Amino acid sequence: MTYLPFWAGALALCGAALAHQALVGRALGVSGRFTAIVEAARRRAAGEAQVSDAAMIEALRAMTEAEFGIEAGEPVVAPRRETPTPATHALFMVGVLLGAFVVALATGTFTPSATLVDPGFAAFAGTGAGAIATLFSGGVLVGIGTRMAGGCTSGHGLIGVATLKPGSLVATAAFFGAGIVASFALEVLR
Amino acid sequence: MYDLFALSGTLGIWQDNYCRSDFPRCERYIRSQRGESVAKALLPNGKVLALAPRPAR
Repeated sequence: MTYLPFWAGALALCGAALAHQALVGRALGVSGRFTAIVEAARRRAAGEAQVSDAAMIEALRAMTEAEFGIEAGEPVVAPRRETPTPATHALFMVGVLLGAFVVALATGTFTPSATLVDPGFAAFAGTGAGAIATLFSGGVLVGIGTRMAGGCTSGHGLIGVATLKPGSLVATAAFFGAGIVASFALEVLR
Repeated sequence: MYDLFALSGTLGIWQDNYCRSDFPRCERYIRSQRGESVAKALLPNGKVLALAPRPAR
């Protein structure tokens, strides 16, 4: 197995973030996409009406003029690209998985397995139902945490920290710190 | 809110008047501080964005 150097991954992430901003007009993020997909499904299930971006812009323009007395049409800037659809979000997710799969195949690191092979994790949670429950619980906590923080390692750690957003600096410090503490705690418990 | 307003330059007007200055009077901020859910279409002045929906597909 040959792993790519760490800096290659860093450059790839940087390239992806820049390309996303340039092509989509929005900061790169992952956890928010899950939320958008779930929200779209919820709205569709509830039969809620959908509003076009143009309608939202026009409504905002009208209320801005009413509130601040600003002439409609100035200084409104031309809208950026349309809001990504759930299908776009899903396509992005598929792209992430596909990219990882392709690189794993290319570097010979693709080793599918039905068992939990990490000795460290197995020493803590075993390899059976307990391990599955631990993984599932951890995943649930990650999901809850990302929504509470309004983002995850990509939105906060990659983009937010790079743009020095205070909330992202705090969130990233918190989840990295918690991860370090948890790692040491697991070492003690093993 | 950002999702809703990300498409228009008029966002800056609201940000200048509320987010970057007198944010304590922002209705969205007030409700979030109370732990209440904040509707996406709620404007900082407490009014709701008047939208003309199209039927769900």
